Amino acid sequence: MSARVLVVDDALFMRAMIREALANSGFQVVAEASNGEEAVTRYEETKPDVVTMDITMPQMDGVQAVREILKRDPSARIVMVSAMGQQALVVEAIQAGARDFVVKPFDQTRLVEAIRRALR
Amino acid sequence: MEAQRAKDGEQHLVVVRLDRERYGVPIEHVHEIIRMQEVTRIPRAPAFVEGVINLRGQVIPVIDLRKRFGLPHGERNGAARIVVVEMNGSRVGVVVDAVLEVLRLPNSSVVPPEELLAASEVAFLQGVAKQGEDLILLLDLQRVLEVHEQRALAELQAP
Amino acid sequence: MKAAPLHRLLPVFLAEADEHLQALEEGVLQLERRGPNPELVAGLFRSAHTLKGSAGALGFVRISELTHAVEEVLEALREGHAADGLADLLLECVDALRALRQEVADGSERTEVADLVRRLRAWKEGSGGDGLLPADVWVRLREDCPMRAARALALLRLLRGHTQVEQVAPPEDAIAQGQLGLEFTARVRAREPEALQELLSGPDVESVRVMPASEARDERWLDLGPQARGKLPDDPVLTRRASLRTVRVDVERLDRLMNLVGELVVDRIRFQQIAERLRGMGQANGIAQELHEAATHLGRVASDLQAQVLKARMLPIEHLFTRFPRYVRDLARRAGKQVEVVLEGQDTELDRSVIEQIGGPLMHLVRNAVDHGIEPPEERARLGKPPAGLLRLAASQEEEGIVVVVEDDGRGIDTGRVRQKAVALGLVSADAAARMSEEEAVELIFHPGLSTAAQVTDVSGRGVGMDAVRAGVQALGGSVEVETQRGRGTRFVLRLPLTLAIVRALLVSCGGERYVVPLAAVQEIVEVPADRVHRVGSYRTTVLRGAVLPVVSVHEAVGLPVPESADRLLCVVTGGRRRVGLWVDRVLGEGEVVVKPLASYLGQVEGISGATILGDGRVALILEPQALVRLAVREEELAHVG
Repeated sequence: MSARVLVVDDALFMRAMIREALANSGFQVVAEASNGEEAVTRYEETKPDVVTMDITMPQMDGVQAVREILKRDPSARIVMVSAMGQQALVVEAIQAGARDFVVKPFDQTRLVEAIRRALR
Repeated sequence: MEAQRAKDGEQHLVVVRLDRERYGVPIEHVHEIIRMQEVTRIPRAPAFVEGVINLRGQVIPVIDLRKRFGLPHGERNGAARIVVVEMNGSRVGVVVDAVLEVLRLPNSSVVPPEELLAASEVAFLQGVAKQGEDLILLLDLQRVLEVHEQRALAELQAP
Repeated sequence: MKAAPLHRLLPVFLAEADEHLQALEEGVLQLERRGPNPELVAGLFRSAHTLKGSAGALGFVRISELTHAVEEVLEALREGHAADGLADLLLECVDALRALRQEVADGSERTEVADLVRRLRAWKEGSGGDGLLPADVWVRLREDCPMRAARALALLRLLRGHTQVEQVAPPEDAIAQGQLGLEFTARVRAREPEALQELLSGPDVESVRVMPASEARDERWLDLGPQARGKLPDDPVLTRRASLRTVRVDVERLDRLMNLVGELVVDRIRFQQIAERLRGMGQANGIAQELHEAATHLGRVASDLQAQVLKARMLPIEHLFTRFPRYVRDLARRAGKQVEVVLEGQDTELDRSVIEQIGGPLMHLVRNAVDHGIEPPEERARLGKPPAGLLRLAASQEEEGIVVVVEDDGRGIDTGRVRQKAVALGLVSADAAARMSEEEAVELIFHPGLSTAAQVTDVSGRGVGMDAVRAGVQALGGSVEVETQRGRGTRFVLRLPLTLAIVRALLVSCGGERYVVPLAAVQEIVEVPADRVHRVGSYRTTVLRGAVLPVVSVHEAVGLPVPESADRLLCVVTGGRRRVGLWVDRVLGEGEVVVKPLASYLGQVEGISGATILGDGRVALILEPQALVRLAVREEELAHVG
């Protein structure tokens, strides 16, 4: 069965790109969210296998969202999607429990590999 | 990427807006997209070269696509972006009014630009794609970025 | 590498190694046939031990590591461990040692031993009590791996999901704070250490090594001091020791630091100016003095800081030189020549960017010396020279820069032939060639026309590409000189800046934009009333102490409107024999800036030699005084024509 993914990003553009990359690799995008708060809600609704999480977002940022999701489900698998220069935040997210990360701009295989690693 | 494109018969494009047109940039040439930032002007550079910026310690040139295409100067708002493209080993920032989306287009939707446009607009394009009613003008980055020829021309015209 | 003693000892070592390897091989074959007996094992142990000792003394780390592991296995045999399956493994070790012996004879160790060492240890240990095997995991990230710290932490997290992680170096807190080069190590206990290799491999990972660890190796976690540092980057154990004390820093980060220091210096000057002004106002003299002192102190701190950052960018030229003995050996063998390489001044330090860029030109000079300078042994014998030619590479620090000498005792440059060739190629007239001094004739080898003409290779005594060598060195801000004597040899002297990245400069502003003027070109700064600047078209002049001084408006040069009313602040700069006044709005201060190439896409921009990044992240252009002087001259001509 294909893994179910929640895609979190405030940019429609990025969501579209990620959705497409995942679809090409046989993943199933079960929901999208455009900010941290929405991500937490969607996570609880859909219980995805893995989440791709943008960092800079309105309402609640990605790092905070990682904390909130892991509070509710310590086994959650989250892959951060970061812009360059956000290393400190990525480090924070990993220390908070995110499994892996990719740096924008990335190619599809990078993202897919990171998700596969997170699913191991 | 090339192989995949051949296989799928598709083009993967970053679609940008400039004036009232939509332009497609082949995604394999897009290195990253960054917000507008203050640009340091370069004396006696071709007019369409806006200047240089600091991209994480690397000095890269930025060109103004409006000027390049001879479009009227437009007010830049928060949507303006610098699309950093990589071409022949160098990175160049291209200022656009906005970045709209990333798109896959079947090659069958692309026609040579001459079929739809006047000759003057064709120089920088490698094709035109029809997406429903809309047209996406596919940039020929090689031509867009060619600066030396342009400069030589400018020098010839100088007194 | 210490060339002299090594030269003397190497043949002894090689002969000895042959004997011991032979003895080892015979012993292992006996072991296979008859099983272990104390005498046989003791003999094997002695051979391995002696080999280890000599290899260690000569710095052949891999031989000594492998023989050490063999020793440990033999030790276990001595204690009664059965020898099942050991012979094959030991024979593999003998083969690897043979290969290494040949490699050290030729230059340096290349055969990998990590896997054999691991297998020897695994054999020795069998498997432990709880089924978890202790292992050291060494991970090296790729140079281009973005966000190294985050990647390292993500990998450690992955590792935690599959093993018990007992110890990490550098510690995770340090990694989280960015204190990480490309490598980290973790001591783990894992059910299947072998599987970790695959688990950790990924796009950002250059290599992963998993080595079964025994508790006895714990001392290797300690820093063994500076001698362990930086010597043998390929060896995971040494690298790990080193990683505890040294931190790898991205050059880019150092550049940024350098920029910030430059800004600091500029601020210091501003403080001093403020102090001066306060003093000028005649009041608060005590405060002015205090401010002045504080500014002076700040200046000292800033320049110390700067010196430290510069130092952090320095590497001994050894990094480059060590390549040459092997390189020359191969070239010489191919050319049927004998060449002895002498290296001097290997600890001379240079900025790493200089080291990176000087490699090509040096290679070129060395290749030319071997191919064209040094004669074949028979010819040398006829000439009464020793059969082996001498090639000397020497580095030393002199005053402001570094001097690198590439010298051979070969045939020298035949200036007569060089002249002929230059005339034949139409580069100079026969007349001019005849009038040239010897020095001028030798200089012809740097002429692009001559130096790229392949057919001169043999006659000139120097091959192609000398123009490229000179261009390469000049691009670094250095120079190349050549001295030659027919039949005696040729010596190239390269003068290089200590660091190419930094230039002392004046920071000025003009039309809201900041520019950098290399301080070396600035003679003085004067203020001239606007009505004393005269103008014909765009050509301006003023009179400074009785002499006419052309004035170049930076505003105009960069396409900005020229301000009308204010007094003219002029930086008087020299370019060649001429001077011009560079008209700027304000002088912000002086400092040192890190020079960056202007994007190659823009090609050569007249009047601009490069760019730098200021402390606030903005790019400032570096003005090139010579070119601005040329511009002024051109405008002068235009003005007079018009």
